Amino acid sequence: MDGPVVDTRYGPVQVEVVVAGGRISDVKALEYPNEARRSQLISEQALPLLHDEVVQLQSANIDTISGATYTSDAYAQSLQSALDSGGVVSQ
Amino acid sequence: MREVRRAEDVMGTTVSMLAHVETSDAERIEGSMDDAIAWLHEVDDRFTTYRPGSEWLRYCAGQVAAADVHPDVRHVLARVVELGSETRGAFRIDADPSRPPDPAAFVKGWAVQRAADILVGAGASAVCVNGGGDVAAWRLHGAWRVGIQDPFDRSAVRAVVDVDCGAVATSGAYERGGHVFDPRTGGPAEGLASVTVVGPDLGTADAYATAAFALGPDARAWLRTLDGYGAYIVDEQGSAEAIGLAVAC
Repeated sequence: MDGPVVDTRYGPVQVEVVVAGGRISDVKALEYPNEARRSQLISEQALPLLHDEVVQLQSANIDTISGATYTSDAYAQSLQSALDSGGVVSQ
Repeated sequence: MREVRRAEDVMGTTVSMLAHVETSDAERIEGSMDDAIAWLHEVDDRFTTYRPGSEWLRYCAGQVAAADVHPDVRHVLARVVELGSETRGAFRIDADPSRPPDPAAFVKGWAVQRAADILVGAGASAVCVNGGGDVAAWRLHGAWRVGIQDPFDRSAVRAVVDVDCGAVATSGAYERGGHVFDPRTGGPAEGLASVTVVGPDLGTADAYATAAFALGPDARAWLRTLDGYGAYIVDEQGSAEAIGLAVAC
């Protein structure tokens, strides 16, 4: 199923959440900007991170994350970013 | 029922908003998110210490009289004094001698709390606003599950707290480096890896978390005296303790 599209500073990000046997088995990027330097950041660094974290966070059924303040630049690699971009799964 | 989400770079961090809305209300909630984002930028412009010429910096430099500042500046000044007293001196806006006085440890939480209040006031049935790790959350039914980040592993959650109406703020040195100062020594705060404070108001929770982190291990005794605010502490050895707070691990 397709996750939501979230507007971020990197442009719109949409992920596909793959559910197998009632559990999330994979998270793939469907749509993300691929021209600017920022988009390279999110595609090369953040998305692999998001993949692991979305799977982990969904299994914990968490809505949001409280942590020491991250900067805007660190957002793409934060747990919150993982939730914002892939955390909504309607079964 | 629909989910509406938005993320905005403001106050040096990213604020993300999530609201549950009836489909017929979606347009109004989207509009309230525009209002909330405008409010956050207004606060950032007024209180920033990172760009010259903000009203806060002009007030600190004596270029604007107290009687002439915006009511929000007067509110923050008054609240900062109260927070100093409530934290037995541990919350200070002038703890870093190399920088101008910075009220951010209260102002960010205060601003994010009001942003959440704007969405609630517009009629959302559930609202969760996360300002760089500080959370204001409200739900008509059920509770949000708020993960507390592991200070030793940014990709992991150390504990989970359920919040139906309230705030969760975390202070730690692991993201921005040693930016919290112990007002008693003037040096970087030591002894704790992170402090999370949970309570009714995010501005207060944010300031309390910063104060507790500054106090280090001595914060435990003070945190036990708080009414309406609980805490989750992880020390530098990795041990965790909940004070006046129910958490799931």
